[in-house]
Amino acid sequence: MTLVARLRSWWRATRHPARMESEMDAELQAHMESHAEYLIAAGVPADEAHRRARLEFGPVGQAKEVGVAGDVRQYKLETTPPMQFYLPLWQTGEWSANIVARTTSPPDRLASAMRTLVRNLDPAVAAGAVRTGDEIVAGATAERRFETFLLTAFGGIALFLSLVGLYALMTYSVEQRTAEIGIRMALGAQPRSVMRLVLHQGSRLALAGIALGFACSWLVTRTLASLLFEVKPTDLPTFFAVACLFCAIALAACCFPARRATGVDPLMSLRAE
Amino acid sequence: MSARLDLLQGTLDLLILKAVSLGPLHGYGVLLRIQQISAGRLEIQQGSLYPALYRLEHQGWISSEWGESDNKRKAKYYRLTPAGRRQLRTEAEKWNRMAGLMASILSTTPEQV
Repeated sequence: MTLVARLRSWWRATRHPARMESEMDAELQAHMESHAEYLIAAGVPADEAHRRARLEFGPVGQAKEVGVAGDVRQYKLETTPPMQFYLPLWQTGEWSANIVARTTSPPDRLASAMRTLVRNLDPAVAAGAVRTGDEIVAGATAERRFETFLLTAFGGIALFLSLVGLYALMTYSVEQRTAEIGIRMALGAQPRSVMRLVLHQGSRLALAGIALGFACSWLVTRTLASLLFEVKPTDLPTFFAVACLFCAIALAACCFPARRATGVDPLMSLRAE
Repeated sequence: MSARLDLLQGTLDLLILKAVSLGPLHGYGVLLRIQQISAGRLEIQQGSLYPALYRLEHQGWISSEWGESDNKRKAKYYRLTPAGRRQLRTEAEKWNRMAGLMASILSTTPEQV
């Protein structure tokens, strides 16, 4: 018996969805009319009774789909929107609503027009705060923008300091070899081969540093995750760009002192000691 | 505290089965009957009635057919099936056991511990 009933209801739902829907509509309609009559019998005016019947019906829990709308970041800009659907206001059982209007005229003028409209429809309904889309977005992002500004500033300073430090250290280590370079030059080494030697050693050091940096940031950046918006903590383009920057600075730091060392008279560079 | 109680989660199905067991009813009639036998002390969301009715019908515990209501309106009448009668009996028994258990737990005094 139970199985037969289930099969029958499944059959009806799959084979005759339209008929099922229209039956459901008829049933709900009958319910609301009955309730309205009940209210009228209890002394409620007819207009008010029909309105009350609709309102008191409350949320249905099941609804008929009439269209598909895109997701909206309704509460926070930085979280991916949850599953969303829209219900007719009288079915939601919620007693407040937001009205969104697009306009080319000044927002203030539209706002007062809308207030008048709402007041004419129902003087008991209060039209609350009117805000423009820009205001809402600015309000939602103000805190984040400040955080991001601080983060960027500190990050920028850190990057600058480390680049300066790297440059100074690399330059110093190559300058220390001025005498050695001088001797190599005096013994007939080509400037190009000396440059290659210095750059080779410098880049090995730089690459080792970058590898170490990669590993460290891979571990540490995940603590940043809550501050990031639509960027993963292990964002490859960022990693790559920073690595390139450090590489370039390191090589430049090798290049200039090495060029200076190969350019001068071997005797001078020997005396530089 | 309000005189009217909100429905406990999961009790609507049992209430509907009980209401329908007293005689065939249309949807609005189910609501009225529950309100009548609870003397209006139970707050039922009218809209939540229909998903429950469809669910119960799908389970085979109630069956429906179109008829005419007292005020000559086409209405869908629900009646209890034999399977629904069994379900009502087991659920009612379960509910009574649970209610008895809760009552005895809540009336425990320090001396009894």
